[in-house]
Formats: sequence, C-alpha cells, structure tokens
Amino acid sequence: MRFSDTMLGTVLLLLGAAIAIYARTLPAVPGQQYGAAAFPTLIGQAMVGCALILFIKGWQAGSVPMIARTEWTRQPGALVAVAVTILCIVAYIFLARPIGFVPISVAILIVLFRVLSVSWPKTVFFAVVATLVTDYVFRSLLLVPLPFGIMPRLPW
Amino acid sequence: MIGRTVLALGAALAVSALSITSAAAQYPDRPLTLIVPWGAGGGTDATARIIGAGLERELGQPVSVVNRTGGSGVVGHSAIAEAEPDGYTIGIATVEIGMMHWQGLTELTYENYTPLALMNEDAAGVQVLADSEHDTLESLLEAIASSPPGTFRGSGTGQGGIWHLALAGLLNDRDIDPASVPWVPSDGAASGLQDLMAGGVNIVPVSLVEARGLIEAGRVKSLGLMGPERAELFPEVPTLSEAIGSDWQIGAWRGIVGPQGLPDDVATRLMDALEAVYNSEEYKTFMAAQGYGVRWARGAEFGTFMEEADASLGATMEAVGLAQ
Amino acid sequence: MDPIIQAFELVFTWQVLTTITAAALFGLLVGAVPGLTATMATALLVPLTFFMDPISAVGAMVTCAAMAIFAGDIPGALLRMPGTPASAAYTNEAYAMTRKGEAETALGACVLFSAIGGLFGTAVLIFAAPALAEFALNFSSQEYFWMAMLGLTCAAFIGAASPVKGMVSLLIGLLVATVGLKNASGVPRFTFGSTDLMAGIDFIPAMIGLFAVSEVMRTVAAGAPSWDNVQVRIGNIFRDWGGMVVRYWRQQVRGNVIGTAIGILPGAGADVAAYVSYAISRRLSKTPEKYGTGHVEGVIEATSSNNAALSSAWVPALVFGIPGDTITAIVIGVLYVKGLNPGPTLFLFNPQTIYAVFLIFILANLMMVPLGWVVIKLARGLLRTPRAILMPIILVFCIVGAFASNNATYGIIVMLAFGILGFFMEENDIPIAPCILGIVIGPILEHNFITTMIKSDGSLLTFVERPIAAVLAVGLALIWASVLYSSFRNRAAASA
Repeated sequence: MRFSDTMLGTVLLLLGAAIAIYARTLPAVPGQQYGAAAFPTLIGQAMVGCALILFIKGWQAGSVPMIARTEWTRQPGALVAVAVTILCIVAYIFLARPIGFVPISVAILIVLFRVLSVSWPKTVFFAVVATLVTDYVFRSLLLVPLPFGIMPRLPW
Repeated sequence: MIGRTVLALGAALAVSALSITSAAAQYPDRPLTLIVPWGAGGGTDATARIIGAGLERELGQPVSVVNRTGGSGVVGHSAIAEAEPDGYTIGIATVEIGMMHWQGLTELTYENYTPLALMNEDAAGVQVLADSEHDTLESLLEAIASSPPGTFRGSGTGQGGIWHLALAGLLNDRDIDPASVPWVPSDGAASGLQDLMAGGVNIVPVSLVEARGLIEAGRVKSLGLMGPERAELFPEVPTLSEAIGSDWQIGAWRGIVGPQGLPDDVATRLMDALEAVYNSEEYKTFMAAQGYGVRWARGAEFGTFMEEADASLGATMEAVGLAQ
Repeated sequence: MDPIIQAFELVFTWQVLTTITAAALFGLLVGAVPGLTATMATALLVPLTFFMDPISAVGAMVTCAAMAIFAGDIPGALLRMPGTPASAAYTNEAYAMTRKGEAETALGACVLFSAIGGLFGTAVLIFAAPALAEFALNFSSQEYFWMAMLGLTCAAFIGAASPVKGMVSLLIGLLVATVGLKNASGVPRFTFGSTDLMAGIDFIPAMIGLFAVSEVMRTVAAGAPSWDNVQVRIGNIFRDWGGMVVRYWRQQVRGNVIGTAIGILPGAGADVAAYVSYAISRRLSKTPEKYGTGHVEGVIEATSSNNAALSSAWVPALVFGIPGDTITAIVIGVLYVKGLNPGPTLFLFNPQTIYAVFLIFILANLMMVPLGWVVIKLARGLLRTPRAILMPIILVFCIVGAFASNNATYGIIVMLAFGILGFFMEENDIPIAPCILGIVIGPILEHNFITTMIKSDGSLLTFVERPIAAVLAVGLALIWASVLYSSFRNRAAASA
C-alpha cells in the first residue's frame, strides 16, 4: 500500500492538527511559561508544516492515484500471508494467558510454517522443538514469567 | 537422533506432570513472582532482589523478581493489586502508593493490598554543596526566607515526587512559602546530584544513601536528616529536631505486599518467611553495606503504618498545593 | 609497581577466571536475544554476586555487560533484529551486508571493533578518570539541551532519499516519546485513561516491531524465498581484520573518541553514541552514497563507539558514584555491598582493587575476540537454515522478547502496532532510523529544555550564558551552516 504525497500530507495534516488541539487540554505548571503542552504543540505544528510541503510535492507530481498497490501485493497469497502473521500476534495477545505459552506458540508456528508451505513432518518437529527451547531459555535461564495457562510446569 | 530427543522430551513431560499432581496442597508448591514497580539499577530493585533471594531459601521455591516499570510506579503497583490473590504473586510497594492517588494518577491506595512486611525506610536529608556558605540547616532556611523567591532551587526526583514533597513539607513547616524554592524535576537522585555539582540547583533533599558517593568524596554535605533518629551511615548528620527543633519527618519506605484478599494461612506463611529474611545476617549486612536503613513492621502493623503515611502525605500535598 | 602485581594475583585465580567466562557466555546469550538488554543481563546477576568475592562480582558484571552490548549486533546483522538498543543505529546497514552475502565481514567487524572500542574506553578510564569526571560534572541542563540538539541533527545525516520523509519519521519518533507520565511536568499525556500508556511507549518493543516484525511480514509476504546471495566465506578472518584496521583506522579512532566522550556524560549512553557516530561517519565519508546499502564503514565507526561508551560510563561512576547509565547504576550498588565504595578514595586507598577491576575490563574485551569468532562460525549455520523455517521462529522470539522487556502483554501490543507502522513506513520510503533516534533523544531534549526554563524563569538567554553551553551552541550553529552551505552548493552544481 503506497500513499501518494497528497494522501500522506492529508494524514499528517489531520494528525498534526489533532495533536496540537489535544496539547491545548494539557494543564500548565503554575508559574511556568513552558509545560507539558510545549513539546506536543511544536511536534503538531511541525507535522502540519511537513504536510504542506508534501501537498506542494503532490501538486508538482500531477495526478498519481491516492493509494497505489505496491508490486508485492500482486503476488498470489502475499496479502493473506501478511494478514495471517498479524492475526497470529493478535491471537497470542489474547490467548497466551488463558492457554499458556507452549500451546499458543506451537499453534502459531504450525500455522506460519504451513503458510510458507513447509512439509508436515518438518512443521510439527520444528514447531515443538523451537517452542520447548524458547520456553526453556526464557523461563529458566532468563527468568521471564511466560504464562503457564493450562499447561503443567515443564521439568525446568 | 531426532526421534530419540522427542521421546526423551515426552518422557520428561510425563514425569513432571505426575510429580505436580502428587505435590499439590502445600503452599508454596510452585515458583513465586515478586513484582518491582521500579527499574533495574535502583535501590528498590536491589532491595527486592536480596529479599527475593532470601524468600527463595525460606520457602524452598524459586522467586523470580520481575520489573514492571513506568508511569512513576503506577504500572507496577497496579500489577501487584490486580494479581491473583493466591500468594504466588507478591510485590514490593514503595512510598509512592501513598502519593499517587492524591495526585489523581490512579485510584489505587494502600487498601488495595494485603500488607505483609515493612522492610526498609530511608529518611530524606538536606544536601548542599560542600563549599556552600551554609553550615547549618538554620542558616540555610534563614537565607531562603530572606532571599527573593527563586534564589534557591531544589532537585532530586520528578515533579510531586517524594523528595520534592520532603523539601516542600520542610519549608511549609517553617512557614516559608514552598513556591519560593522552585522544584527542578529530575529523573532521579543521581541526575539531581549531578545538577547540584554543575551549579544548576542548590538543594538536593534525597536520602543519605543516594548522596553517599558525593558526601564521601567531600563534594556534598548533608545539613539535616528528616528522620526520627540519626542514620547509621552518617551519624554526624543531625536530625531536624536536633538541628532546628522541627518534628517534620519524611522518608522513602519499601515493604512487601500481596494483592487484596490473600488467604490468612498464605499471608502468615509469607510473613514468617519475610521475618526470617529480615532477621537474617545476609539481609542486615547487605542493607548496611549499601547504606540503607532497615525498619520492620509485620502485617497489620505495616497496614497501620501505610495508613498513617498515606494521611500525612496527603495532608502535606494538600498544604503545598501538589494534590489534585 | 607493587599494587599492579597484587592486582594480577587477585584476578588470575581459577575462581575469578571461571566466573567471568561464565558471565561472558551469559552476557552473550542475553545480548543476542532481542528484548533483553545489557541492563537486564546485569540485573539478573545481582543475586548471584552476593555469594562471590568482590573481584569476581565486579568482574562478572563488567564482562557480562560488555559481551551483551557486542552480542546485540549479532541478531541485528543476521536477522535485522537489534539485540540491544545500542545496536539499532547500524542494524539496517549490517543486515544489508548479510543480504549481500557478507555476514562474516559484518560480524567480524562488529567483534573486532567492539573489542578495540572497549579497550580504548578502558584506557581512558585508567589514565584520565578523575580529571574527566570533574569535567563531566559541569554539565547542567543547558549543556544537555545542546547535546540533545546535536543528537537530533544526526537525523539529517543518517540520510533519507527525501528530506521531508526523514523529517516525518523523526516527528513520529518524537511524538511517540511524549506519550506517558514521564515528563518534567509529571502530567499524563496521550494516555486516554490507560495505566499501560502511562508508562509510555517502551523503546524496546517498539524497536523490535519497527525492525524485526516488519521484516518478518515482508519476508512472509514474499513466500520466504532463500537469500538472494550466497554467503561469502572468509578464509582467514585475521587477515580480513588486518585489512579493515588499516583501511578504516580513522573511522575507528573517531568512533572511539566520540563514544568515550558521550559515555562519560551521565544521561547519555551507548545507544546515543552509536547513532551520533554513524551519522558523523556518513557525513565525513568520501562515499556517503554507499551508506544504507551494506557498507562496512559506518558499522565500524558505530560499533567502535558503543563499546567505548560502555567502558567510559564508568568514569563518573567510579570517581563520584554517579552512574553514567543503568548498567553502572546496578554495579555501583554491588560495589558498595562489596566494600569497594566508589569515590576518589577508591583510587587512593585500594589501588590494587581498582587495578584488578581495570584488568578485568581489559580481559573482558579481549575475550570478546575468541567468543565472537565462535559466534561467527555458528552464524553460518543459522544463515543456511531455510527462511521458511527461520521466519516463524523469529516471530515467536519477537513476541517473547517484547513481552520480556517489561513482563507485560502490553509490550506485545506495542510491538505489533510498530510492526505495522514500520511496514507501512517502508512501503512509503519513510526511513525508520530517524524515528528511533527521535524516540531516544526526544525525552532528553524535552526534559532539559523544560527544566532549564524552570531554572531561568522562562528566559531563553540562559542557553548561551554558561561557557560550555555557549561553545556547544556555536558548534551546532557551525554544523548547520556547513550543511546548508553544502546543500546549496550541490543544488547550484546540479542546476549548472
């Protein structure tokens, strides 16, 4: 997905304006000229400035589609693969705590390996081994509290 | 080769699953998590880690110390309060729990926790440059009162932090307008002291242990201590009541708490373990070597302590205009 | 001479040597795992040091930290996943080298110049610590403000095809840095009532998202084809190193000096040092157009710089007990526990101990060379793994790393959001590096601006009233003038 300069400028203009307006709601420190609002205001203004430059560039460039599809999106399955990757992370965010690290990690790996057409035996083997190694390294060596969920505690 | 590895892993899994079902019942039967609301490298982190090591020995289960930082302690304190009250997640609460809610940053108060044990307290000191013309607190306070506002500036923590409150409370106690010494927010005691050395500020009211390096190097001196008695670390520094006859006291404390509603037997087990840790040679030596003060209060007593601290901090913040 | 001999006796015991070797391996592991920083590696060692003698304890921490900072380069170069923030500045460059099949050269440069950088910083620490610490203590918020401005100027040199888009990226970074409660006024900003957002947007998961997750998405979209280029095997790595030292000694020395200078100042660390050095390298290079395409020159200068900064952060720590970064903050605590109280007296009363500590600094940096060599050999195996197998596993690593940075699911959410943002930015030719620079420098800049204004009661003149601040301001003005001049000249030359 590629935005034209005009489109990018529009997004920036809205974002910059929103930030500058939001900054006005931040309380001032009593007796001080510059407080919490100073920096966000400046950032908002600079974004609006950049937006204006992008508008000029967009105008110079003439007519370009507002949003263009980049080369890779035309490959079969490319968009699906990206969507699946994002969904895997979302799944982890929601499911890791209830069902635990090991099951969700195995599931994510199986899905992604299959998307990348890895053969089934390899898929299962690497999904299990990579998960167990990660679990061991992070939980035992690095003392990261990965969620247990429904899983019993592994021997480490 | 691969097949054999998988087989071995499966066997190990089965064994571990069996051993877990047979050993349940007795608390604690699995590792504990100790949440620290402050980052690695600070005093709270170090204290939590030594307590964690002690608990591990007392309870016979691993205790992993987990940092949940950010939002001036709000994030970590929330994580402790929101944890499952089963005794497997506890945390180290700090003085900020009695301050944040007055500033409107969170709804959390000491009431959201099961108090287990107060482990440490460090009173605020009044530090100035070693070559400052003021040798006593009395002379410093007189100079502040007689100079135009803004002549003296303080630093050592963020806006509305504990050391900010210490200085503002002291001035308030002496009937000097706290606003006459503007507060320059800093990331922590170290950067406040750095700015003191660089001439950016004049007073750094942090704890003695935080200023220790520069005091020992002869670059900074402490004029008074806002605690009930002199500190072991620098016994030559007078308390406020000795120096100016004021009974203003404030300090940063740290204690172990669990989420609200911890079962009684679990809480008792933890308190016993913490008491053993507190009385251990290792803890005492560690705290003394680092220069931290130790203070003990168990369970309900710690709860009363937090309640009093909360009320007194609230009153001070109200008086100096830091409360929302 | 006597204390030096005593120092050797203190260090060359089996116990000390075994401890620091173990610590080195541990540092290597933690540093190579994205999401876990050198600071975390050091903090994890704290409980273990209780049971060690003083020299082993300090030795373990010093070695572990040095190794972790170097190890951060490894996943950066191989997988575009900087292991520690200090490696972020040149991750793109090193990864581009890997794609060209030059992974061994890139990693070799990282090992060698990290070690030299560390040794340089150590030398400065040994010979000039007291005087330099004294100078560093003169820095107040005015001086730090100008330092931060200099850092931001680097964004202009990092290089972007379109200056406007580079600016947009920088602004995104600065905006991200304003989220949360951690600002001079103590006011929650852009938090919308969320406790997690009060903590702000953690730099580490953001970095994992921008670099690694976006790369995983791109590779998966393309069906994870194998690498475009076969990895070049370097026959004799030592001859290769000799060539680099001869060819790039200027870059190395410059990186060492800049890194050391930044490291000494409390409040700026190895990550800032790496950015500044990379930018300077590009600015002064004869072939700036090669930067970003997999050119070893910038990698050398930046990696020379971050390890030098790590060693020199000890200057104010050992002399005044003021930590130069979070790692030294942890070690200062351990020093007290072990009775090695930092301060000028440490140099006077305990010379054999301080020499022993210096000796360990030297050993730690020397150990990097053989361990790094082993890593390079192992890396070849990793790069031969089909990317269809590698990429999903990397994604799981990213998730766990983002979680581990603050032990919260929030980290994974941040990582995902920045992964998508990074993906979108690269689609639109918006460079990522200025954004990360903005996240790093933004808070320093704002904090020092606001606190200076509190001190001066709103008078902007204060920024040039102090002598060091005035010198920094003039220096910055000259740099800007030279940039403007050369860009005008280029434009004139282009139109002529």
